[in-house]
Amino acid sequence: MDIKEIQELIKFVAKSGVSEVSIDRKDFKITIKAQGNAPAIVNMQAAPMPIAAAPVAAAAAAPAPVAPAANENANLITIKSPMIGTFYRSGSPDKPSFVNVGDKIGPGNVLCVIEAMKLFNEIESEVSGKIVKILVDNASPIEYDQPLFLVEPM
Amino acid sequence: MKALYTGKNIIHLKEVHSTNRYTAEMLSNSVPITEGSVIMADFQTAGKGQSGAIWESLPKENLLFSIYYRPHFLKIADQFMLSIAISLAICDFLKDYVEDVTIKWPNDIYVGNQKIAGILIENSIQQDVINSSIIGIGLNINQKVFSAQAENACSLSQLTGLQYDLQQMLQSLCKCIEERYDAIKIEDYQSIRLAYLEKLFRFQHPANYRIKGEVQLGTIEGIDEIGRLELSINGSMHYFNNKEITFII
Repeated sequence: MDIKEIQELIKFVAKSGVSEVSIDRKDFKITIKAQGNAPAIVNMQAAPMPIAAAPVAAAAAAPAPVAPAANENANLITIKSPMIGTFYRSGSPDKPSFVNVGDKIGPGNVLCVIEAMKLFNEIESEVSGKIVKILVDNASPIEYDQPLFLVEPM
Repeated sequence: MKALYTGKNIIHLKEVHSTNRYTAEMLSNSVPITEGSVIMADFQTAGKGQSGAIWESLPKENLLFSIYYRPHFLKIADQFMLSIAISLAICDFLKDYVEDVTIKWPNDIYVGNQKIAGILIENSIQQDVINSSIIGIGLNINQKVFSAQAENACSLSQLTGLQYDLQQMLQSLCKCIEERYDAIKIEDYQSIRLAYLEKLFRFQHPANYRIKGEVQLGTIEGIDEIGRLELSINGSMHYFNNKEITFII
């Protein structure tokens, strides 16, 4: 996999809204994790065979796609956490997520549950739009005002 | 003396998955429901406890119900006041029957070292306001035997040897709850927090806690604004949310 391909892959991950992509091939393994708005390579292991310089170059190239990703976010609405707590994407572990990337949402739709000291809070949307990105993993601790969702207004 | 609006309207179900879920479904289906309505069940097939735990109760032996409130007056950041109010109300109610009633942080009700009641509060947040609050309460009244899984449970009847009328108990509990709920609308939070601390299980008594997998000796010194437990360990103060600390009882 060359640098261009890796850059393409990072762009793809940024646009797709998924939080993590792993590709495991015979000669290499790459993991791209989205951190906040910008994806970053957190792990790339070349198998013994390929040229040793490749992973280093890839790591250096990684910051480049960050800027366009940020620009793409410019006209998106960021839904932030109204409180400190733990973020849950569904009402209970056996239930489907309230929303997924690509879902259309409107005012009153439940987006997530935030739990704090055994108080469970269903957070309803105030906006209409399409979920472009979910910025926090299920069951993660979150802070007040932390961005949770990116929504494309509709 | 009855409560003014809490429990004035009672929906009594024979069997339901959980009264909290039933209430939430009523709300999402736009069924008109007045503030203070009580949804009670003789039996819950999927009673909810904390973090997916199951609340176990035999049919018609205990109080299992949810109250629907609309605490618009309460800031999201102050929502722990709801937990405090309901916990204190259950203590108020129980003190006429048994002694040594305490609140095990954040909101389990204990008699001695055994759990008699649990609370599960589910809020709906809309435009940075607590639009509605479903307060689920399970209070063990007449149940005599608990399964091995509920090793730490007790009931009022076990403690006193008496049998109680559930409807009467519900009415007087609703009155206690309404008083404490109304109080958070007007009273200052500082004095309500103080009342909570006075009832807190192990308040200012050194005891063992499991923290990050390790047993540590600590002393509960208070709670902060959002309800985190303030514990002194080896002379320094630490704050914990409910996922970071386990009581060793």
